[in-house]
Amino acid sequence: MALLLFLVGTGLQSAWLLENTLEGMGDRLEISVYLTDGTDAIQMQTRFLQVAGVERVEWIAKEVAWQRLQADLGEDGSALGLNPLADELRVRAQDPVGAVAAQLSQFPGVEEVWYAKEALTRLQELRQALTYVSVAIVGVCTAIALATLVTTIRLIVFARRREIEILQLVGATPRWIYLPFVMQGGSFGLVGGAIAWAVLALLTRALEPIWAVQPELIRSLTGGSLFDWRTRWLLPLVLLGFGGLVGILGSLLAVNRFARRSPDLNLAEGG
Amino acid sequence: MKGSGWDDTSAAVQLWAVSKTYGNGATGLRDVTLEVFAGEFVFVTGHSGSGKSTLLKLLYGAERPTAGRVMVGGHAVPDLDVVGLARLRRHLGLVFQDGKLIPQRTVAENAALALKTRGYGRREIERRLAAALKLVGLQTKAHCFPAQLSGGEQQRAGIARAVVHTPQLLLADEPTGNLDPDNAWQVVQIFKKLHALGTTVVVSTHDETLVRAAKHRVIRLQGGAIAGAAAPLSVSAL
Repeated sequence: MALLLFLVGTGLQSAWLLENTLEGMGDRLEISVYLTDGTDAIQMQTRFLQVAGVERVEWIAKEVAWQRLQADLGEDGSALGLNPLADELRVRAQDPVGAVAAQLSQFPGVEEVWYAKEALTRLQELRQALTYVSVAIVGVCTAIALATLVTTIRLIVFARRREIEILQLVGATPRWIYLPFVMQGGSFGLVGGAIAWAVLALLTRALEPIWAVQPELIRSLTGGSLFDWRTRWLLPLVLLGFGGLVGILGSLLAVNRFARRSPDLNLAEGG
Repeated sequence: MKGSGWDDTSAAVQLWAVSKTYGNGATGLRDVTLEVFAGEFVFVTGHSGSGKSTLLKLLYGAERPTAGRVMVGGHAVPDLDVVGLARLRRHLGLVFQDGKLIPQRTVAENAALALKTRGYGRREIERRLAAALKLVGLQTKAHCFPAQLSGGEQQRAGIARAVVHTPQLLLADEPTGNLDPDNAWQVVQIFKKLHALGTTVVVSTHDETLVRAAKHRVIRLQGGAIAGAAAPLSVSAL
């Protein structure tokens, strides 16, 4: 049970991490437009702003870009010689970004248009695949946990069969007899959920220092989702709720057969 | 059917042409017709294998008849579902040869089970428990576990559980089978006290001495049928 819930929790955290990453990339969906030499960047900036879907256009002069590149490269920058860069217009656009980029590439004076379409598509595919794999794993683990729980509860019922028979003889209804077993199943689930959450919380804490030394880009893309409100509050609720549900469902399945059966006790002996 | 009421206007027990054959072909009962009226004290006697236990099991719904009709407290027992049967049993008191006590629970806890399943409150449980334990002479053993009691005391603890809710019908299946004559007579005296309070009592036993001493109506079974029965209601009274 705890293993199932640990896998559920891991899957959920991974999905949230990817979701945050996608949202982070979505925020950065900028189109870089490189202009041919001699094109008036300010004039192009004005024309781009009139295109539907364009929210903002920032001009980065090739001299500025050149200075930034040289600063990044340090001493090696001087070996590059003359400035090979073109004027760039950074366009922030609404979705669909591809349509806006296609439109911008039609303008005369535009040499090249580039945006992070490929990476975004791959991440979306990854999220989709992760969702399918998670659902499959959780499904299989749930079935295993249910089977284990049903067997466990049935063994407990079997071990207490004499007591149950006596309760039946004194007029206890099936609900009165089997409710404690259902509650026991539910408590198994809750304990499993608590264990899974504790392990996940410990792992997350252990990852914290590793996370802190990752490049700024990775940290900013994922929006610090390792420790966001979902991990802190939603995850334990999901784990406890799902655990309790599986526990109750499993124990109901286990006792249903006994509870519906008319007592056929064969208790009395003799003639 | 989920009937739970007890029909006081009809006979406590009615069997019409009841037969019971087990899966292995063994005959439990053959064409038994009888009636036990409310407030009666009846012994069911016969040798081992004569059908005494089968008869009682049919009455408390642990077995279903192969043929015929079994009515208890106005209810057709085989027609009751699990809940209906549980509710009917709340009007019964059941006593078995081995007491059927839960070893992990004290005498008081065992006896209180019958009250807890009926939803009695703590005070009412305490009040009834005290009276029941006094009736069977186990006031001082309330907190003992079954393993700490003698055979006779265990049987009396089982009787306390069976009578604590003042049942309409007490069914006792060989209650004295494991007891010495003194303890057996003590048990019969408890049943007599309960009978005096208005409970219908049906006791199966093979102890003819006890039956003769008790002086109540007797139903004799032989090979699953009522012994010497020419007529359907074949009952001999001592």
